[in-house]
Amino acid sequence: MRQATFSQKIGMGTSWKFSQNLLLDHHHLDAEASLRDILMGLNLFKFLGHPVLHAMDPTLGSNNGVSFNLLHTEIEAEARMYIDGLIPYIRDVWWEKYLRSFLGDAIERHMDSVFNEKTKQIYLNTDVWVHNSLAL
Amino acid sequence: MATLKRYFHRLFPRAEGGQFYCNIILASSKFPEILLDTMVVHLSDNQMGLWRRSIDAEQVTEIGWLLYSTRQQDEKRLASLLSELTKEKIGARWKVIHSSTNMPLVKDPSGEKPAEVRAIPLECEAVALTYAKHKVAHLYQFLAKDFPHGMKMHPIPPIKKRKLWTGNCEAGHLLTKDRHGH
Repeated sequence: MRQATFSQKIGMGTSWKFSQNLLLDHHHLDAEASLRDILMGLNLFKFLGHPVLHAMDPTLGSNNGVSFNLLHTEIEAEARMYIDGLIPYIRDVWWEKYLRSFLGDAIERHMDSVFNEKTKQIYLNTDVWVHNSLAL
Repeated sequence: MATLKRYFHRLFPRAEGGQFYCNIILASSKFPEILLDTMVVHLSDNQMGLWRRSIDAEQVTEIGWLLYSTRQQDEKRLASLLSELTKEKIGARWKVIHSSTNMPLVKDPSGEKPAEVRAIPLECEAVALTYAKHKVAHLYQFLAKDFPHGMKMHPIPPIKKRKLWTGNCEAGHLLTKDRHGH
């Protein structure tokens, strides 16, 4: 019964930006944490201590797809933001070494995106420029 | 029939026909994947199938179901992770939870099938059940904050082992009685 209720609430998001999904569990030489540890350790902005993602694993039959499980509740938007903005988040918060796990095209496409640690939001550089201009 | 049941204990007479499942032990010097790939083609011509069990052991038993498990989780990775953490051989596979609601004895005349609920059950070698059960329960204990790979799940015992509130009778017995129409 509990599993049935849970199955209705659980959602899924897939990211195809990884160069190789086996790198999820790869431990870099200078880092203790793997990419999986970092992403599963993401906490909600409003509810500290509560994880953003429920589970993540390589997509079945794919080399570069990673499937994320998230809850269909008020936290869904935040979880989807992280899934779409994995590259800016990793680049701006963590080491750039982790960026090797992503495709070069995807990294280039996200050159204009910035992760703001205070608001826990991802912005485009143009948005930041407009915001600053209006503030002036 | 008795001789047949000795080797294929999961077989039973079924008047209405349908699919039958049984376990066989195969020994070969080749890798199991190569053996399966070769055999599956010939078996499918005869409307038969062959699947590898999640762990290689003669007697396998269920540890329990992982509540809050999802289809997207990689069973093989989960099994190897739990085996590594508990130091016991543990297998995992995404399966339908058999209950009286999703597998009723009498079929619905309208032809509608009840919704299936699935989860990942954990299996281990029968002789190592006690150790494996306690070690898995310790990993996913109620007050735990750090779960293996951050995936919060809760192991629950298999339906046969669960005691009912109404008495000392086990749920598995009642399920069997219900299926045989007593």
